[in-house]
Amino acid sequence: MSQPPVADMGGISREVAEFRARVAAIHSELSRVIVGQQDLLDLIMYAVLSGGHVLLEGVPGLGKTLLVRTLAQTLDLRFSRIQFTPDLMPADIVGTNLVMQDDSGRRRFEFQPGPVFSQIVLADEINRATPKTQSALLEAMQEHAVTVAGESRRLHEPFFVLATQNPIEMEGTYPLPEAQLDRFLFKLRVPFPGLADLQAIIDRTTGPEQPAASRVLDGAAVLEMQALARRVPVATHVREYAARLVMATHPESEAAADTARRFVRYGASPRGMQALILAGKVRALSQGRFNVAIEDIRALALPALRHRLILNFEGEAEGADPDDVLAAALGELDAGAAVPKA
Amino acid sequence: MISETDVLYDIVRRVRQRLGLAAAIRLVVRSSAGAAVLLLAWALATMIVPLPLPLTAVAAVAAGGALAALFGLTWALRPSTLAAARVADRRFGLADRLSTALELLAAPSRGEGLARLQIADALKHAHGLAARDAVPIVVPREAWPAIGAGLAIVLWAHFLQGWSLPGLPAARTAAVIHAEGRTLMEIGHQLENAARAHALPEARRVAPRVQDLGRRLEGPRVSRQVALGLLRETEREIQDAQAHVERRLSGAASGVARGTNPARLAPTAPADPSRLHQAIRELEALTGQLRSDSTPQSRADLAERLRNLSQSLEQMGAPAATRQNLAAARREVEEGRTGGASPPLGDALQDLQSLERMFGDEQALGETKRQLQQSTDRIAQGGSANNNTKVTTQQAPEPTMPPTAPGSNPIAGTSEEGTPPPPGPNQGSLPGQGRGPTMGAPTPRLGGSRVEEHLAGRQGEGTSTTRDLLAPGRAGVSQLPAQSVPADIAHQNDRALSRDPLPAAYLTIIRRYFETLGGQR
Repeated sequence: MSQPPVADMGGISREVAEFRARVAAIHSELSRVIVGQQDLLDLIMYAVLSGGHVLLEGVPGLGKTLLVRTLAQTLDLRFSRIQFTPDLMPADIVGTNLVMQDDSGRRRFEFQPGPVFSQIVLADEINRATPKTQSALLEAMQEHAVTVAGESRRLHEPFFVLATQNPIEMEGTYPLPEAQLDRFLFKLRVPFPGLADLQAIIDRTTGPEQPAASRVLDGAAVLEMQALARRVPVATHVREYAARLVMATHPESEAAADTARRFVRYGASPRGMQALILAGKVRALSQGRFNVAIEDIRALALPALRHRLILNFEGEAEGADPDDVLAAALGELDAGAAVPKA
Repeated sequence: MISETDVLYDIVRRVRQRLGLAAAIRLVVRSSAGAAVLLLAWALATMIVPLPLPLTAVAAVAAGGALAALFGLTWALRPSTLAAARVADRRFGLADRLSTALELLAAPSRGEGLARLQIADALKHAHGLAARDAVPIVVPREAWPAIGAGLAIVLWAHFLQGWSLPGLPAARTAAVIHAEGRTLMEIGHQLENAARAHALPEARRVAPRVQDLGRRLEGPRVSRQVALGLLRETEREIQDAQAHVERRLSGAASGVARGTNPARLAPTAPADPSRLHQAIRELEALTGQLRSDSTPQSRADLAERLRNLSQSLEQMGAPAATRQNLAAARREVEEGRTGGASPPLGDALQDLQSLERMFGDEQALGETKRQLQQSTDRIAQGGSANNNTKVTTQQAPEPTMPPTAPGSNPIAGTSEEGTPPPPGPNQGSLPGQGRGPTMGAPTPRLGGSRVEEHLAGRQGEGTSTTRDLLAPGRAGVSQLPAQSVPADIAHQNDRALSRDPLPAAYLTIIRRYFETLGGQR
């Protein structure tokens, strides 16, 4: 059967072309403000277009907050920033019912929405709040809804949580619970910029004019792009590869990698596999492909799975890095898949 | 017109075929390397032990098998279409475009938006790709050991085949082959001499072949397999010659043999060659007498001798034509025409001489064949560990002719005929330890019978007695002194001993044993 050429598939081709143009535009706007960190910008875009949340980990001063704020400006989404502190309460995040008195003197409860009722929520230094407060985000992140006083309220779509945490300053912090970590699509490590990037930061931030990002998209366009990305086809063997990778992180599994057997207590959850495929679709479309490839899974394995591995005592004691475990699992998986089966 | 989808499938199909071919080559080359090394080891082992190695046949079978295996494995080892597409994706750097497109083509949703785009994208990227770039057919590394082993085998076949290391079984086999070669050369010579002396045409034709066989066996680097093959070949030739002689004999009997007048030979032939020979001598003497003496008395004597000879030939079952000729000659003599008796006598003499030559041929060939079979047996067993048979020179075959005949003496038995056979598998072994088919008789058993006796009841029933022995520990070996046997047990024992058909001597021994125990109490 002869397939129609790409030019004949007007509608879908235009959608795809527009998708790529929008991605390029977002990337360009972010790059106007953020110096370097190109891979980080790409991954954040993949997460946003997949509808996922991102945990940014890095030392202070690397521009994490600026990056999130710039993203909100670029996408023209309602932005709110929550500084997580030990005395922060859940009601400070989700909102609360207040007693209000109207002109006639009657009193009634009125819901006062918290900062979570935005579209991009920056949870700054999320590990400084208590687990009780951290848990206030669980429902919002998973259900995109908040329940206060028995009443559930939907959040505005699209809704993203971009949290930051400092990997060095551990005193007085509360590590995120596994359930919370699993709700983040990616955990991104913000690297320290190189020499050239540092000089560019000086030029860009100490001059008379501060660079500002322009709005290139709105929330509706983001939702359209998310819907388009979900239609990207995935071959069976790519799905199998993602599933095998997740299985390889489980020490009790027969397919477990040797490193995982040694250092891991619990492996990645099915959410990790969903994150691999979903972000892979966005990555494929962004790179001009119409199918998810194994190379997409490989490229996204570390950010999508590193926060989902729980190390055992030996792993903690030896300072094992989940990235190393994942790299070993990828290596074993690739070695096993090198020979085609008849 | 070829559709774009066909182009996609065509690329994957070619990649699939080449993957199958590459895998088949790899497997066949590995197997060939292993086989060549094994063959080389086998070839070298033939220098130690006399193993058969039909090199040409093995090489032909191996080459044919490798070719057939290559075709078969190419088909069998092809990966699936999707697996081939994945390989093509990886080798061409297509980021899983081909494999995804093939899956989408097989799916019902292939006409939908992004699926159509994906297929078109895969087609665009697959255009102009050559399967040979993805799967180059290269000679595997294992080919070098295979080639090396093959060369070594060729060199071995040219320079070393047939050699053996001294003192080892292969050398002993070679010695046996050489000895048999010498024997066969001698046999060939003697056969040739006998054939010349007795004018045996078939034996004369076969004799050079036997000599040539002996010469070849005596030469260096003749393996057991080759020697046995040559022996079989020569034996077949002798069989053909024997068949020819038998045809001539039966032809003579039935009158259809080439160059033979059917009327001149009877349908039967004499069974005793020595009596036939005596008859020929008698006939020659009668012919001489017919020429020299023609008195009436001598004619009567001649006629009488002719009658006796005719009767003798009849008893021997000689051909009827011969007897008819003798009868005609006798009539001529009796009627006083001695000149007219010469032609029929000459014809009868020729018939008998021809018959004698055929018998001589048959006998010589049979004897030669027997000698070849003996040589075959010796070579087949030669060099084996349990072969201690001394190689002896055989006597040359000769037709059994009376000593008066020209040529050598009649054939004598081989020197082995008087020697006892080698020890058999049972000789010197005990009953039950022999290895041969005839085992010794079963060992005779004592004529006793076994009686099973059990106490009635079940476990746990009845009374049980437990006795606790409480005593202070003492130094030395701990022991429990013998207790007196309860009366009922002693009674049962006595009853059992008296009931069982035990020999009296056994009963004494048993009683003495227990009495001794009682004395030690």
